[in-house]
Amino acid sequence: MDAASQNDDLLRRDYALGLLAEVTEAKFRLQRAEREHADLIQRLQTEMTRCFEAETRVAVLERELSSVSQLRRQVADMQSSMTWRIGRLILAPVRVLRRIVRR
Amino acid sequence: MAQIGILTPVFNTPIETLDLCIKSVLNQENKNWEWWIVDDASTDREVVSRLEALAASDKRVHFIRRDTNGGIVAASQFGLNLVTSEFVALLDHDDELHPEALSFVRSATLSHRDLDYLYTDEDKIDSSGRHYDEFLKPDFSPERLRGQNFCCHLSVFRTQLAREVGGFRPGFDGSQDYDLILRVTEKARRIVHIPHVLYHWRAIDGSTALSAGEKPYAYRAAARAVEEHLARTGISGRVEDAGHGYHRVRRDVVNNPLVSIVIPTCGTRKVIGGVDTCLILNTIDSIERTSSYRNIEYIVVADTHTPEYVLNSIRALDIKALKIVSYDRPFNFSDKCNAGFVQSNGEFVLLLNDDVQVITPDWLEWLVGYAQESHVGMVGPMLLFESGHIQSAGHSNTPSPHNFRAGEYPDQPGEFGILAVTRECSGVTGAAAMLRRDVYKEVGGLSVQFPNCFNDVDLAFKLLDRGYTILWTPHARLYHFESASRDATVDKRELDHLLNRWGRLFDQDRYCRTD
Repeated sequence: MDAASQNDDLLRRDYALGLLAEVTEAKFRLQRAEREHADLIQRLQTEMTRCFEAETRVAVLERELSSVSQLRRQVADMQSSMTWRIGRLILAPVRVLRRIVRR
Repeated sequence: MAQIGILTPVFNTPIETLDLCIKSVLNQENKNWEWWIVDDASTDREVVSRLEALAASDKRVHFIRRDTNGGIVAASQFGLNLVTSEFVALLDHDDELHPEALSFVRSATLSHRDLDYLYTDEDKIDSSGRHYDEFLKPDFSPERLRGQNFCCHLSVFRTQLAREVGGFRPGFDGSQDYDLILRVTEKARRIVHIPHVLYHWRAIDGSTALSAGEKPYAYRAAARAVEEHLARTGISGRVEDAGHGYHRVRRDVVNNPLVSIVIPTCGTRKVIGGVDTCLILNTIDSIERTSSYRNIEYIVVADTHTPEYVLNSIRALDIKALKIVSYDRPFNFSDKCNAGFVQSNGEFVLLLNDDVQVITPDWLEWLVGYAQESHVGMVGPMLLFESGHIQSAGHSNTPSPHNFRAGEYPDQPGEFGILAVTRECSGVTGAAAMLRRDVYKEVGGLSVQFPNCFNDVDLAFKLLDRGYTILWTPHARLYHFESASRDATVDKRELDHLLNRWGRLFDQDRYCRTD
């Protein structure tokens, strides 16, 4: 083989090996990207689960909050009724006596 | 039956260190072990009673007393004959195992059913219990093993294979484990390196952990072990002292083959040692004056703009085997080397920059000696700056490809002998690299895709990808007046191209885990 043919042979071999290396590198990067993607999906799912759980807890809390508000309103209504006021008036001496006894 | 056995020969161990050794075994996370402790007729009653009590309290511990003191080899072999487990780990009587040591070993043996030998990283402990000298080892490196027992601790053998190869042999006292490692690794189907520090070697007065020169008899035994290894494996060569407690195997050069030295040049001049010097003339002159190997041809690839007086001066050297190849294409280092290669006839090709100067007369014998072995793809020498500091001790890919240990002193052994022994590496600089002709052709030579930079890194990766070994040796030395003859700046396109081909290999060096 003359020098020019030998040189062509070197170029062809390097080209082939270089392409093979680039394909392998691309596959490697693809696999790495897929792994990272899978990890991200996994993290996303974990975060979504946490988010859903948090929303559920918030809904429960909101329901409880609403219930507390309703009860507070009922207490306020009751304390502003004539019956409550008369009752407090009747029991006022008892409260005074209790304070004196505690002293 | 436990899967992993521990073998510990004991003789008059200081009781404090023996207790620490015992504690390290009892503290193993993996509890499925058996421990064979062979007392080599200790005269210290406390040692014996401590071990008798241990054996009485733990059924996994087997304590055997020998009637007469036979030395480390006899005691170790005595124990090896008794071991019933599939694998046997060697633990010296004053050293310690990391708590996870046997867990890692078990995991490796389960992952690789054909595993016959494994070794781990190690460190040392001083008398105050401080850990130091962490040895992060390379993957299995047979040539490095011929220069030093880098596997050392912790070593775990398939028990059956250790016995088949003859176990611990009399006459190798102090290097009996090295001798066994050499014989086992010659036959092993699979060798595994666990890259974690799982063994703590106690450095006390008189211990080899402090200095390899502590036991001269062990050094001589190690040399004999390597000599016998060469005979068994058919490597033609002889074992020599490499200094600092290491060895080197000088190969016999077979059939005095022709070496083609391909030197690209453009006739650059540089002041060297205060003298204005024509580099190519200096390079050829130094080879002619210094080299002991004589069957060489020179292929000088000269740019068309090379000054005529330089070419005439080369011709005037009156070297018969010298060819000047005129290169008339735009600068491309790889293409220039390939142009020289196709004009050469040698069985071996040495790519050589025109800005080098030979130091060691037998440099070519060292390079050819290694390159003639079929598994070796490329060999490189130690290159020094004009100042005498290291320019390149091979390549390292941690974190990215670069010249290893540039700027350090060449006559220091480096940590764990990394600069003192011939070793496997991930590449060598193209300033001086020897390949067999068939190997150079097989991988397509230097890639013209890298006209200026990284062509040697790419060449090394092509070779590694095809399963070849690359060796670097400190026993062949040249000066390299680096980048005296061409631009040293890195071309981003070439770096990108290198990453597109081999990015996965960056920061993944199997042989240099630290920079």
